[in-house]
Amino acid sequence: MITSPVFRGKRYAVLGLARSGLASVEALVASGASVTAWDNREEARDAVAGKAEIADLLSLDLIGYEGVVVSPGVPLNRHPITARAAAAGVPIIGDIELFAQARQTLPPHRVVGVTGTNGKSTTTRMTATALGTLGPSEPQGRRHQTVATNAEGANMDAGLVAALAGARDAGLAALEVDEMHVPHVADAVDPAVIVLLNLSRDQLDRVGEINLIERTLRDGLARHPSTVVVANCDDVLMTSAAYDSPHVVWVAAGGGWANDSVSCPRSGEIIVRDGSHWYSTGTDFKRPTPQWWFDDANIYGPDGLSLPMTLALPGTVNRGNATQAVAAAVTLGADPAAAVAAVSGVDEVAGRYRTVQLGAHSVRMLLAKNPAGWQEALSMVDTDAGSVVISVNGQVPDGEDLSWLWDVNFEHFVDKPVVAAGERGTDLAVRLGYAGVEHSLVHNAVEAITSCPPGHVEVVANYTAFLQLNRTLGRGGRGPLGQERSDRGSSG
Amino acid sequence: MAESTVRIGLVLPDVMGTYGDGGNSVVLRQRLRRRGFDAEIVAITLSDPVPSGLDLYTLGGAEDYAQRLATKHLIRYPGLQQAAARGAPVLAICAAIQVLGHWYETSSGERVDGVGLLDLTTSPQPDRTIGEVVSEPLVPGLSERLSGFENHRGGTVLGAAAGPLAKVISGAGNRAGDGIDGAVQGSVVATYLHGPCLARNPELADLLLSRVVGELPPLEIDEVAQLRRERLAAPRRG
Repeated sequence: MITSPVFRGKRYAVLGLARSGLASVEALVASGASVTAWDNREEARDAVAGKAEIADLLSLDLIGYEGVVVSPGVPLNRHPITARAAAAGVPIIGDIELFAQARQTLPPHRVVGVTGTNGKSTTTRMTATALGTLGPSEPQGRRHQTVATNAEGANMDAGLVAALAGARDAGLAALEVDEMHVPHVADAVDPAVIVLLNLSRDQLDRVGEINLIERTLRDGLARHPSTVVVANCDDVLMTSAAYDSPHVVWVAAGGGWANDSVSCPRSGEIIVRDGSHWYSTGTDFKRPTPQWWFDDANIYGPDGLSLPMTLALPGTVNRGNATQAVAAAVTLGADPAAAVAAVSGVDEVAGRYRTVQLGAHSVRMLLAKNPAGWQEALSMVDTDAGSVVISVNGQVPDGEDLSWLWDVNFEHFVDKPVVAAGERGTDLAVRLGYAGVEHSLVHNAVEAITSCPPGHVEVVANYTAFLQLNRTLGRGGRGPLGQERSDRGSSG
Repeated sequence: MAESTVRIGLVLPDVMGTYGDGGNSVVLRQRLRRRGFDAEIVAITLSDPVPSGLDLYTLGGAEDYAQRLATKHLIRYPGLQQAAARGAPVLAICAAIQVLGHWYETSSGERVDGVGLLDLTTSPQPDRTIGEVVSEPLVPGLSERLSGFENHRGGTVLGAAAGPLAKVISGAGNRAGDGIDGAVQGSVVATYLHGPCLARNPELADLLLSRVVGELPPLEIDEVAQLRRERLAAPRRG
């Protein structure tokens, strides 16, 4: 728990009581602040009973409050709290600004931020594990092997304060950060290292166009010239985001998805690809020479470093993630061999890749959120192992526009029957039908699994569909899956 | 035509395929094949001149830089314009509407000359219009409501030679407040609807195909009917 004298005696309002909001309430109350909190869900309000005053912030006079702490899930552009707070002259802040205010009173710590469209959670988990190998040889004789992290696969509302609560003692933190949040998170925590994985089309109705995201990252990094950027030089957009930074460690982490970078993010002209090399035809912008790379057997690094690397996680994409995690940890002083051993042991990330038993079915869970992620996930699906269930939702965190289903090569399953599931299973069924894939449609994902012959089932799901199913399987398959919403702060 | 293979041009999927719009060509091909026609998709990329001899053409959405590359390419290799002049059906989605007009202004205010197939111009709106759209078609041959998902900053205004494709029931369409979506001029049909458009609106797919192969027998797909029920009933958020 973070406590700081800077909050003592002040009044804060907290809107949205999912993990992030809850952590903010607890940190503020423990620091001696008084807190008024609200969430539309009664059970969320119950969780802060006795700690905070409960009141609907929209019917409250906010004058005299130090700030309104709003969950990252609250859409500020259209939520009435924005006008209410402005009328009272009270700033709207996030938990990360709270952390920034408390920061100067906390013990010294170093933060690694991990961002990108795909692989954030996995790479953050690997980075945290690799940083954990940093031992007693650290300065001042402190033991730094405890690493705070938020690698839960819910980076938007995972609650950076909740994650950094551990950083008070840890001195090290590995944080996955949503691409668009990188600038203000970097301003708040002044990261020692930022890891840039990849950028591709993702939830276009929510996040926005890809070149805007690259510009946002580039501008955010420009304010932190001392931060070491560990960037994937196989990804044109991430290379552009890192290109002007004075301290870059280039990693050839792979890039199977080039469809969003046909044009140069710096000139608008065509990017020419020649094997693994690429260059812009409009300006002096080309693939930098990597200091780290990998193949099917080894990881390679500076000064002739070569180490065998065998991962518990499947897929080439995870070898790229592991290489970036190792590079980040070595940048902060980790021993390369120890870091490689650490990342190799990661075998599950927030339920992904794990196999669970559901009655007569053993279920392996894969997460995919966008065309690039699906391309990777489909390559990991073992179609010989058993049945295939694909579950798709279209809630706000998923993006409501599922047109991207048509950018995914579902023709891959032309010889393999698929069960389409999820709240938007019908969209998927239509896609599979036109792809010529034999399929059935069972909206409830648990029923979709039990509709398969007994034995192994490979499940691929998008974000909220994955969270729902993961939680339901954790209860042994019981529960109101069809009705359940994702676990986000609700406040509208 | 039915005796030979119907060739569907997928125009510049490398730069104009941001929102799954390549799916429209898949829907067209499959709806022909299921009725016994031979059909194939011909992908035309930035490394190819645009052929004028294909049977119909589809174009999709794009972001600013990519949209400009596409516009330059279509003006340099005017195969699409030649095909439209002889009446080949053209389906243009989202940014492709803007590309086929007289000109469009980018979000940074720069004016880019378009292909000129459609009598319309496009300028940025104050806010992006994003969400589910339902519209009532205004052209002969279409009787069912159209469903799609729009996501665009550009606001399009039609000139006298272009008519709207549909009256908007919910959503924005061409420009917030104007109440119309899309454009129809000659053999070109344009709309802001993604989804992809033809996956949700099989009547429009068959209308375009019938202009190539003549009248088509009905093709009922239960899941498509179910998808239409679900999407037409879906509320627009925000």
